[in-house]
Amino acid sequence: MSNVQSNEMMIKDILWQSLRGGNYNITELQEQLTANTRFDDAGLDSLDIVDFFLRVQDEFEIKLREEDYAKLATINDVRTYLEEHKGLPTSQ
Amino acid sequence: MSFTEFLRIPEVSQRYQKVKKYFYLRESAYDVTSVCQLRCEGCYYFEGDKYKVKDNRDPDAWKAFFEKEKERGITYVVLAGAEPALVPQMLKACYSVIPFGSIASNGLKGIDRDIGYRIHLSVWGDSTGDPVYRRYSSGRPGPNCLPIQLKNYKNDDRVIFVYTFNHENANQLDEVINMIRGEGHKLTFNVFSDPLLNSSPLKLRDTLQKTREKMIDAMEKYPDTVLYSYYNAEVHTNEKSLEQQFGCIYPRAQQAAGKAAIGISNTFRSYRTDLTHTTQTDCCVPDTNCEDCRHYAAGSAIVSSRLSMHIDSESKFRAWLDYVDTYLAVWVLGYQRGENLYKYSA
Repeated sequence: MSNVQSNEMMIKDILWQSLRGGNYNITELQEQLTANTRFDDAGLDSLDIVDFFLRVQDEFEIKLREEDYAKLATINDVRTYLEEHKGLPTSQ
Repeated sequence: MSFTEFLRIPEVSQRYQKVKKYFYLRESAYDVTSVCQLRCEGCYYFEGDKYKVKDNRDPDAWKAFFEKEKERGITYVVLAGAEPALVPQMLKACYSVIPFGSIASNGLKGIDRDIGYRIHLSVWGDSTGDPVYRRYSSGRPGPNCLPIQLKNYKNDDRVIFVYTFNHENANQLDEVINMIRGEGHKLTFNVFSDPLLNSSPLKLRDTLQKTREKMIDAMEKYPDTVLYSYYNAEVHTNEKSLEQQFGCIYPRAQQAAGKAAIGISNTFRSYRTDLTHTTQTDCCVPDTNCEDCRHYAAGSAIVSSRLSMHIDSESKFRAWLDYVDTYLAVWVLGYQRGENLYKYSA
């Protein structure tokens, strides 16, 4: 597995944790949500997305700036952000 | 401590899971009629020009409209106006399509018991104040609304009374609260928010602290009647408006600030009675001065959406949880509020 795939998987795991207890069919989402699916298009609520960002912050020990939230619309956006700001490995 | 560490505290985690189930609620607001028996001092509805449009009075058109709103992802409606109880057909049309919502009413006319929405009945003062602050549309003093409201909604669990504090009515709360308690109803608080263009004498000036003390005193004396939290009292009587404290997330304010739409800013609309809306008035209290906005409905969305501003400390997060728990109890029929997790100290 490449670093990119591994980062993506870690981020997705955090997302599933965030959505647990919410009003979602997580199994269905796991099948449908790709790294490029917009969170809005997947029907995620904005507060659940904030919950996700806060968990990402804690897991990666990084501060996501609130003004950047609007730019983080997909798993790929979050991964790229972490690679750029946290120095996650990016080699394929 | 961090967000995920807070969630390891049992009572905090339990409360978070409880409120999280409702994160999916996505609201919009609808003025369903431009008719009202009353003209209340500073009423946001009769400010601006939104009341001048021609009402659509076709229930089928409203039903089709709400179907589209549902398709748009709206799961919670706030029906207001002028006075929604005067157009029962529109309420029925809406309820047949979207099952969660609330109706803001003056309570002078009852709403059909088949409509399973939360009903917010406005109270502006006691028997001396209410008729002065709320006049008939002819200009003569209005009725004392509370006894009529209590009669129309006897043993009706949909109801919550909303007491609007203004510059001079803090001491009028006692009579009101006793009457409401006597009938087994609940009460929450609103804070008068000044209209944008026509400043009102009811605007709170030097009485914010007194209002806060009165709110807290009532909460502590009557915990079974008053649905409010310490944090509600803090943020709604702060010298700064809600927008100044948290930044407003409604489209009207976001557009004015030139910000990109996220969350509720993407979906919230405030429809007029002709089924149109504009971003400039997409706000739960259009034509209210944002610099003085302490409105309870605005706070419910603004404060609740600001989770990320409440994770600096455990006490802030607890305060936010109390706020969201209170907002759900006020707006969602059947939701039971828990004990406060946070206590204010002056």
